[in-house]
Amino acid sequence: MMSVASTTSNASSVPTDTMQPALPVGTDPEAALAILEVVDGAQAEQADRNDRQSAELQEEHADDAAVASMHDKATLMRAQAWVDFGIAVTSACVQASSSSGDVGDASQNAATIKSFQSLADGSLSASEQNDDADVKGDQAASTVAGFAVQSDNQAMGDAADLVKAALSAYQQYVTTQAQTQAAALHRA
Amino acid sequence: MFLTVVSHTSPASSSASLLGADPSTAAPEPQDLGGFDDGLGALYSAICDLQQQGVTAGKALVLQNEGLAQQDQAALQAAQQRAQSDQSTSGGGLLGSICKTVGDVVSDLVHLRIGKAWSDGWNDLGQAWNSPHFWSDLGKVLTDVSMVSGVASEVAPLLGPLAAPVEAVAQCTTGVATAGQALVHFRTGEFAADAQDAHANATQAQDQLSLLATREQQALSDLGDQSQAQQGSLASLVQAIETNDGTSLGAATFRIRG
Repeated sequence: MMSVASTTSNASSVPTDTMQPALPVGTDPEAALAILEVVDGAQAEQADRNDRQSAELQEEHADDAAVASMHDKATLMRAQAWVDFGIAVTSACVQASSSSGDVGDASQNAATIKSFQSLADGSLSASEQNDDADVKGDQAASTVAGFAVQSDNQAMGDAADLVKAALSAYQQYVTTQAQTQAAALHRA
Repeated sequence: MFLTVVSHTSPASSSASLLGADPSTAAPEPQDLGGFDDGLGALYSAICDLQQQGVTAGKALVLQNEGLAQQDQAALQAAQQRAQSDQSTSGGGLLGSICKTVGDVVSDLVHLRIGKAWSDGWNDLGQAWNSPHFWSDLGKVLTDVSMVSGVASEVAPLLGPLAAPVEAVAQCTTGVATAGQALVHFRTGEFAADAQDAHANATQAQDQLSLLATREQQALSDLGDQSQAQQGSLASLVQAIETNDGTSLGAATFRIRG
């Protein structure tokens, strides 16, 4: 996994400042323009590549957070199972101990246990709902980051097209210039 | 032209070092070059080497990603199987588990295999304990038992002399059913939690598979762009060589005529 990222970032690891030549604005303005466009395109591609890496990291983090929330919910479900079991056993014990006693005390104990059970169930269910909401939020964030990755890919393609167009225009200019000079020499 | 090629060699030499190749063999040193023709030829050779290294890097990348994808695929299938095995219809049912346990134990006892009867019975009980279907069936049965015992408890005072024993049996049965239902609730809750864990693991494996596919696609796209740029450089270089040859030929002809 890491080697993939390192392979993709090899092309972008070269600092653009060190490759930037001096602009021959006075002697060859067309070449200067082409150089400017190429440098601009390369820098834009580098920026888009960085944005894409950042968006990929965000997507990965959002996916990890969603999975972590799912595991949290599983932990809560397990805790709820234990709590329900404990309350049921306690309720049975209290019922058994108070079956021969006062009816008023028995109903009071049952009501107390029932209210405690409702409290525990409500609290755990609320936490589970929170985890569900976290999962959906993280999945939405992951989707947004995925769209950002696609957008950055498109922008990288546009930047590369700019570089190609600049080089193509300069090549055409040089060819036309050479043909013109050849024709002039031929006439002379 | 030389600047362009130098800028291309940097990432490719990184890729070459990544793959274990020796980048110093890709192109000769500039001071070893003779004339301008030699320089252009060396550049041509270097770009061809770069293209070959790009192809090799792409192949290595695809191979490596295939291995990782197989691991993630196996993890995904394992998680899906685990989630499936935690469903309430998975495993042996109540009646089937009881019949199997009784059948195994009785068969072992008939053949006087006491130790095996114990181990078989223990194994069958373990399978029933871990079977969601068993607990689901048991929960339904206990609900029915609880309802019947409740009715019996209500009807008991009408039975005259039998009222007391029927009431006692009904209450005892209700207690046992309630305790059993608590255990059923506990076990089904654990199965649901396990299924949720397995679902989370499956989601994680699926995310990793998607991420791997995306990164492979991007890396191959980058390599394709790099190859296209090298093709363009080669075309320009060929044109430069032809122009150089034409110029040299023209100069020589001019000298001969002069």
